[in-house]
Amino acid sequence: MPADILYVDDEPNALLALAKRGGADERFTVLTIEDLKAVEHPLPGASAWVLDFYNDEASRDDKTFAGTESTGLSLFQRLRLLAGESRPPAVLISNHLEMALGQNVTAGLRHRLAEEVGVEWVAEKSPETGDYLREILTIADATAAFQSATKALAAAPPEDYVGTLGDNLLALSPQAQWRLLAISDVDAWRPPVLRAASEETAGESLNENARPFVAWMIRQALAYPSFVISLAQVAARLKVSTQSLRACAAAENGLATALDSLKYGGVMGEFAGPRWWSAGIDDFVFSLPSASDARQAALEELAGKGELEFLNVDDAVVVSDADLVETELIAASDDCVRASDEHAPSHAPPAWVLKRDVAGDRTLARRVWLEDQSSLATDS
Amino acid sequence: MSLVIDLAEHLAEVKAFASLASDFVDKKSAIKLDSLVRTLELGITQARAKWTWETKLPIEFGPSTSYDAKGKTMPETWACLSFTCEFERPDIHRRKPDAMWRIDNSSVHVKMAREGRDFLSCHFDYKNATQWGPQLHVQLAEGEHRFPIPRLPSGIFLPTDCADLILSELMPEAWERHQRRGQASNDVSMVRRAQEERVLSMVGDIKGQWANDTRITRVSMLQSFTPTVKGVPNHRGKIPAPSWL
Repeated sequence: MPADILYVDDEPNALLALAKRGGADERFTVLTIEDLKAVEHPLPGASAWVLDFYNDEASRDDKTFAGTESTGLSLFQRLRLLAGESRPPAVLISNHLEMALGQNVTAGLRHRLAEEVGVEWVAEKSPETGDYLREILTIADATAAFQSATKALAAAPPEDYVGTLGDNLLALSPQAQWRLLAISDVDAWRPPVLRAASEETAGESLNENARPFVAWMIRQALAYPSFVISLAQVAARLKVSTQSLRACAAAENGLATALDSLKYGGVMGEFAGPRWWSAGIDDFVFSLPSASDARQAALEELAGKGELEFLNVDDAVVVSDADLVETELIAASDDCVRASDEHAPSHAPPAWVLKRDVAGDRTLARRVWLEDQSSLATDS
Repeated sequence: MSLVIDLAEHLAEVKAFASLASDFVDKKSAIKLDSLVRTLELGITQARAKWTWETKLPIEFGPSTSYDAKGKTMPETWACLSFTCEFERPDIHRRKPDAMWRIDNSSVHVKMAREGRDFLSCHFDYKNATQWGPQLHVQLAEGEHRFPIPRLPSGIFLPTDCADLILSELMPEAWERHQRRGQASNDVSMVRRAQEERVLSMVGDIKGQWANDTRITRVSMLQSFTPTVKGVPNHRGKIPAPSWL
């Protein structure tokens, strides 16, 4: 694959070594700050910009404005001005991310931090795991995929736009009997639309529409239970524990096969962990008997006896932590209350937090929905 | 009989139901649904001694062509639902009034419509004190034929419950599937629990009355049933106990 990722770093070797192990090093065009000064428009048509925050050893401890122009964010602003609307998604990386951003980096909230500083993603350069490389490549692949799909999206009549998006980018199966419901789900999450002006240059247009799409995937579709859901959400709908479902899904049985056919395989597929089509899971659950004991028996037949841990809860919900990030824990809705903050889009479902977690946390208590505050009071 | 109802509790149920039902109405009716929820909220916060919660124009559910049997296509049909609920309580001047009112009167009208014309109507309501028949009932023929009987006993009288019945009849498969979706589970729970408590409360009351009078058949008794429950239980089973009673 040709070089499609612009990478600015004074110490690029760690990332490049990782990339080389996976055969992806050819994709990176490495520039230092000095190189950038000599080039007018670095790597036009790039699928991603990867910018290291500290490009000057000295500026790391400098609390003055002296080292400003060498930081990844300043470079980003400059690049943004040069590239205009057609800039690709940008990833800010650093060995000292918390120092760079000046605040704590919560793993589940990086999309928010990124948005606050204006980029699409932020990542700690952690050579041991190499997760950040996978994230970068996933983002670049998504941009490239959108580029390829622009012609089809431009040609689709408005009423088929979401369907075309589903077919070309989200790998929505044309045969799935839950296809219409899935399209309706995607539409409910308000995907960014192709701007009419860019139709003339469809295909040549450089990322003008790709970046908003990638940003939407990161900040909305994958950040909340949307048209695609996490394993914990699937487990809650099946009323089984997340751990036992994970084990079953990885084994060879009827349930694993059924779940595999409902797995999300479109762009940004494994970016935030595996996802499954919400409409697909609903369709699967609907095909099972509705009575509780018959449903359990049907699931046991698919998964093998004793493999699934059934949860005896009336209404199973996935529990979120104090930062409103989903965990793998599933609890009864009676033991939880609903909470949201100012960041969640209005069409996102609320986070469910345990009442006992709210008890010791005033900030969290303030995020609890007004309608649910009374149930906190009565139970305390 | 005048049931007491905690409208703040009922509001949560109405919101949940409106969220579920909004997929089964057109744009105009979706606006009307929103507006009805809003009116209920306003009524609660304004805390007047007497006020009416009613539809200005009917809510249209549908259309549907599959309401008879699986695989059978029927003529396209809509169901139009309108209602009037009159709430009242003694005039209380308190800094923080509660959300409890008596249901003075309640009636829900349903019309089935085909090709732009109504062709069947029924309504669910309380009966007047002077009339015979069960207090809570559904009547089929009073509209066109001005014929007051039969009054079929009904535990269903609240607008949301009537809408639920209509949707279950008009689009059985779609309505069921919609409720079983993962995203709907919380809304369904809210409505389900409140309905369970209402039915259980009514059934308990009927059982109690049966035990008290064994000189008449049970069907006959049901036909003159007037509930002695004090209030409409909320989704936790709690029957409201207003301070002014």
